[in-house]
Amino acid sequence: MNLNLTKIMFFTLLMFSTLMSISASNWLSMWMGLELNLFSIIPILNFKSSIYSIEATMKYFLIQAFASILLLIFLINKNLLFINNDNMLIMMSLLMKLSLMPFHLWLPSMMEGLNWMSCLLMMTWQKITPLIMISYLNVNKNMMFLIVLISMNSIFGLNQNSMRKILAMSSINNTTWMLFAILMNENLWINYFLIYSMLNFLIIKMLNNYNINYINQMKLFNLNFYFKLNLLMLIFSIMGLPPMLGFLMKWMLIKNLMYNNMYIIMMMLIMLTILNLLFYIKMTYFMLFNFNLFNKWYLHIKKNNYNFIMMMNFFSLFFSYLFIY
Amino acid sequence: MLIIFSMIFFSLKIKSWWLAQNFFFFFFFFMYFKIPMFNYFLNISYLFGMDMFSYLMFMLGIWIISLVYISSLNFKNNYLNYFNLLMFIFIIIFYFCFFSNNFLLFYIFYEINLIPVIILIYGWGYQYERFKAGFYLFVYMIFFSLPFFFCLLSLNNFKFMFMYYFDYLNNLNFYFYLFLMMIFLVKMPLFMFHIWLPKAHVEAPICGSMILAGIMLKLGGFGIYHILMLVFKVNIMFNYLLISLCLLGMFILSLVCFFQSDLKILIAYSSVVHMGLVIIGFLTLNNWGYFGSLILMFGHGLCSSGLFCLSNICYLRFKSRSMFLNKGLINIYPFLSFWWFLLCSSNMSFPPSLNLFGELFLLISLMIWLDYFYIFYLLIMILMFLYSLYLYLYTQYGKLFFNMNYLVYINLTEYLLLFMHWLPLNLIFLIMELFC
Repeated sequence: MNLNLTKIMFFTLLMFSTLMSISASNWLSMWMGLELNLFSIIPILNFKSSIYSIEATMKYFLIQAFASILLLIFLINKNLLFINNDNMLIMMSLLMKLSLMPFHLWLPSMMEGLNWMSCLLMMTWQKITPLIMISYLNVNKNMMFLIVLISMNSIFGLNQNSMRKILAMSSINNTTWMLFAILMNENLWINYFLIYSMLNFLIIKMLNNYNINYINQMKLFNLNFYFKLNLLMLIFSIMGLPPMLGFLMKWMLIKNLMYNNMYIIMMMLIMLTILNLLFYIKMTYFMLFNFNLFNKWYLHIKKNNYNFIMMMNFFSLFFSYLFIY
Repeated sequence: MLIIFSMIFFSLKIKSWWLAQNFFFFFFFFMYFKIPMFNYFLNISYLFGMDMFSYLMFMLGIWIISLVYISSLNFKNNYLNYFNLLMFIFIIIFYFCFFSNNFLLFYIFYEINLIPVIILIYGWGYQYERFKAGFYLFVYMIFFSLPFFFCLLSLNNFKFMFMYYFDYLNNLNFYFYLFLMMIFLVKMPLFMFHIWLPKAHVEAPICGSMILAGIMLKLGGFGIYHILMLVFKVNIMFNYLLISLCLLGMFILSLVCFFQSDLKILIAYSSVVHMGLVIIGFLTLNNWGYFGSLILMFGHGLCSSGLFCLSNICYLRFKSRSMFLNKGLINIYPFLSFWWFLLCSSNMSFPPSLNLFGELFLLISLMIWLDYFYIFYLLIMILMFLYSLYLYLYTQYGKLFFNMNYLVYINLTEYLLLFMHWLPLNLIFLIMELFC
């Protein structure tokens, strides 16, 4: 048997800690779930240990521990039950855990040291608990305006070369969208989160398979064009261009923001997404060049099973369109 | 629909250039039998349907794409399968885009349209600068796309999503009006938002320029025509701004044409000028303007696409599009010079061409709209005549460029290509009841 028992244990712990905190009935057990989550993810990040991953884990531990302590202090000062929840302080410590706007700069530098699958965990699974906790808070939605304003920081992604940093920036942007989704409707958030995690998973799977860490490695593709087209469509999808699946999540959220008359916030989110789009297109254009003078590495892939994914990415929007009307 | 979807699988299977091209011509004649002989609507269903406008634009689309296959014969060995797939995707997108009844559906396909164009420019372009050109194109298009989308959603009513619903919105403010219009005005392009067009044309391969000038710009016109029905009330208050901007832009850009040295940039600017006319025609909100714009769009699609083909033919011989190198061509290519004359004369709206009818209609519509604006317009018409003449004279006459060490004759297919552009452009005036 080739079972890695430590892996199994820590992944189980990771899952159950999240489940524990999202199904808890009081703040203290939620907090405990968060702590368990932290202690179970630290070995996971270090399964393939290197000096970079250790540094990243150290950063992550320090920041999460700090945020947890803050959270605990604020919770103890307030009531432990769900009574008087309209405070920004709890919100702020959760934003630090989420790597959301004012406290987001640790995420890109931390992701730089991790391997791809850990990055995926950081961008998707680790967002669940704090977002659910935020949904229990009674937040003044007008204060959220500030968060979007500060999130202009995603412009920093424009001059990045590292794919991990770019994906981290895009994750910050998408988490902003998710924050608004969960403040309005939890089902909406679930849809958004599922689509986002799926797209992220697919992109990261590809990047992991072909070992792409930096933008200029994209030009080394001399693969068959279906593969290129496929990766291209995935990136367009996570951009949120209309035909793709990624547009569906933006569509749902825009429509819901509209019903709640949050026009200004919506405009700002849209403008931010356009900023994000600029560095996504920077990622893709190397792949699109058929004729170039770059050296090419010939990577021979026996068979790719990604065509199905491309079809799913394309046609899902049309099917959803049938359901909407 | 079955044909459309079988096309995808067909395109993946065949690896033949000629078969694909024949398929497009076949599809053209197939669509030809579906012509709506009365003016208004045909085949209206829940989401799709057509009127004369969309029908004509779609026919133009198939025609241009089947001509793309003749024009870019040198791509035959470069990623043929990829190219075929892209062209079929184009046709499918145009089908859904022009024949959709619903604004949301139209918007989605309007945006999909961007992706194959980007792939075409990046994939088959020549210089490294195509990165910048594609980036410009992309950002200009996307920047106004999502605001349009949320303005559309905020109309919040299914009946307004229906394109042929002839009613207007009473309570729109200026910003909504602007965002609803801007996505199409950028595509047209409006003056001051036109920077992406010359860049994209210069970097695009010939098939990219033909599709850009032939159909992409028409999508913008199609959108404006439909969105104007909704914002009609507000447009009455604000259209003088856009019309004056267009007139000013046309004047400036037709002057700009006179100091271009690149053939493609000149043709691109001339197409911006023509599209400015189309915008004016729609914004004057009268019948003459609508029909004139429709005719001019049809004519311009054929004419400027033909001129791009001519410039590409010279580019393949001289390896340059510079006007300083492409001169005195009448000495070596007299027959080609004949085609240069015919297409340039169509571009300057010489009598039998569709451009003449379109411009006359637009002149009348502008005269109806305001008393004195048409004088300015006449000045622009003279300038348009002059720069087409400039294009013709500077390429055909003068001293031959003697550093050209070899001479390659023009193929029969290239004459056929130009003939196919010129024939519908100059003979459709016999069936003008098609438009009106």
